[in-house]
Amino acid sequence: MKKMDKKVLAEGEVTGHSHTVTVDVFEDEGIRMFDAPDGTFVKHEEHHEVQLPPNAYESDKVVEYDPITERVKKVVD
Amino acid sequence: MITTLTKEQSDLIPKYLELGLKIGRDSSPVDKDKAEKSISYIYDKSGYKKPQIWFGQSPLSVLIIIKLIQEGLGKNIRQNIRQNIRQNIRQNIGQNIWQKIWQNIRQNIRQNIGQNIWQNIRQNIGQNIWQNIEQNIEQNIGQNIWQNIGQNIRQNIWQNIWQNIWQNIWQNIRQNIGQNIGQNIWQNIWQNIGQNIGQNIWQNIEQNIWQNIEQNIYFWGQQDINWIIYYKFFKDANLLPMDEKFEFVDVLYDLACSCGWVYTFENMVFVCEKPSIHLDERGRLHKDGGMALKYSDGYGLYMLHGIPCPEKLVMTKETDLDLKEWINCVDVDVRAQFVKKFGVERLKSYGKIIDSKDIFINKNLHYELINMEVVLNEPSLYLLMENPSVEGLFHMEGVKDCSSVAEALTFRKPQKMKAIPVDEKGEEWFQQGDVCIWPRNAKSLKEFPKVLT
Repeated sequence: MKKMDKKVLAEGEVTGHSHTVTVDVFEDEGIRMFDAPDGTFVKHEEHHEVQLPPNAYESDKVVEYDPITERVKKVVD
Repeated sequence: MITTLTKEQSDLIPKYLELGLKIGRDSSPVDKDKAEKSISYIYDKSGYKKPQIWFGQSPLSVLIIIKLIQEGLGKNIRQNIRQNIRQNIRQNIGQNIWQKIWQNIRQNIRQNIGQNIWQNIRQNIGQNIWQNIEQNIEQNIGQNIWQNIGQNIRQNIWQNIWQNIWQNIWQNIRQNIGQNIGQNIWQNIWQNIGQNIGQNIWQNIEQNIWQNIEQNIYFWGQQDINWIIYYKFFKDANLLPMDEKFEFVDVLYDLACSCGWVYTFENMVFVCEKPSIHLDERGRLHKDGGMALKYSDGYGLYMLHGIPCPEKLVMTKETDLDLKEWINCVDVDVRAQFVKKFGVERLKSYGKIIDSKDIFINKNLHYELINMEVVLNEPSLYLLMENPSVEGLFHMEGVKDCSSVAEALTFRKPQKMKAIPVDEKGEEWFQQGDVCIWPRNAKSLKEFPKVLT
C-alpha cells in the first residue's frame, strides 16, 4: 500500500480539478483508501461537498463501456 | 488579538473582492514604467541589484525563451557573434552583422527546439507563436540585453529568487497576521476574498498553463492578486500595526496591476503581458468560437465553461458538429461540453430511449438509457444523466448489456464495489461526480448512494 503525496481520491486529467479529503490517502491496486475516524469532507471544484461520517473508506472511479474499442474502462475526466 | 470586525471593516470585504476580480480579469497593456518601478523596489529591499527586464508576450513564449537561454542559448549567442564578426572582418563586407547573427540564433533556436523543448509544446504551439518568440528575442537582445551579451546570461537566470524574497518578506507578514488576528477572522477574510478570486479566475488559468507548459519555475504577478488583495485588506482596514514589510504589499499590488506573469531571476526579470479573457456567467473561462484566454502572440486556451476542450469542438458551429466523432471522446468532461453545445434534446432525437427513471437520492435525478445504433451503426448503449451539482450539464457514458437504467447504474460501479452484494440493509455509500466512496470491508451495500453530488 502506497501513501499518496496529496489527499486526493481522483484528479482530473484535463481540468486538474480533484476530489480531495482532509485525511491521508493510500492506494493499493488502483483503489484509494483512507481512515476518517472523525469523518471528513470530500471536496471538488465542480461538485457540491460530500460529508462522510466516521469510518474507514475505499474509493474508485465509475467505469464506462467504449463501443469503439469494445473495452470497459474507468472514466477519464 | 482581534476577534471581530467593525461594520466598516466588514463592509470592505465585498469591495476588495470586486477590486481583486477586476484586476485579475484586466487585459490592459503592460505598464512598463510601473512594472519596472515595482520590480526594482522588490529587488532592492531583498538585497539584490536592479535587474534587467525582458518584456515578453505569453507565459509560454517567455518560458521557452528562459529555457533556451538556460540550455545554452547565451553561450551560443556569444559563439555566433564571435564567428560572425570574424567572418565579416575576414570577408570585409559591409553587411548587417546583426542579420547574420540573428540567422544563426534562429537556427540555434530551431535546433534547441528540436532537441530540448517538451513534446506537448511542440505539438501545441503555432507557427505564429514561434515567429513572435523570435521577434521578441531579437528585440530584447537587440536593445536592452545587447550591451550585456558578453556576460553569461545563462548564469544570470539560473537562480529563481522567489524563495529568497518569500523568506525575507512574507514570513514576517504571515507571522504578523497570525499573532494579531484571530483565526476565525483571517480565515473568513481569506475565504471571502482570496479564495473566491482564486477560484474565479486564476485557478483555471494556472492549471491550464501549467498543464501546457510543465515548466517548474515559480512566477508571480497578476495571478497573485487573490492573496495580494487578501494581505492588502489587512493593511487598508487598519487591522494590523504597519511596518516597512507591509509596504511590500502595495508594491506587489502595483506589480499585479501593471503586468501579467513575472519570472524573477537574479539580474534578470521576464515580464509577460496580460491575456484577454472571456468568462461565463459563473466566472469560468469560456468562449464558444474562439480562445477563452488569449495572448497577443497567439498562445491561448480553448475552453468551454472552465473545461479545456479541443480547438475543433470550440471552433465548429453546433450545427456542424459530428455526433459520431464526439460521442465517444475520451474525456467525460469534454464530452459533457459537447452534449451541452450539441443540445441534449437534439442528441436524444438521434437515439432510441430504452428506459428512463427518476431516482431520488439527495435530490431527484433523471436518467435515460439510450441506444445510439442509428449513429454508430451497431447497438451502442449510453446512460444520459444530469450533473447533480451543475444545472443543465448532462453526461453521457457508455454501458453494455443493460436493458434498464438500474442495470446501467450497476454496470457503472467500480469493479471492486460491484463485487460487494447489494442489500437494502447494507451499508451506506457516497458518490461525488465519477468517484464512488464506500466503507472498507463492507459486507453489503445499499443499491444507490446516500449522497450524490
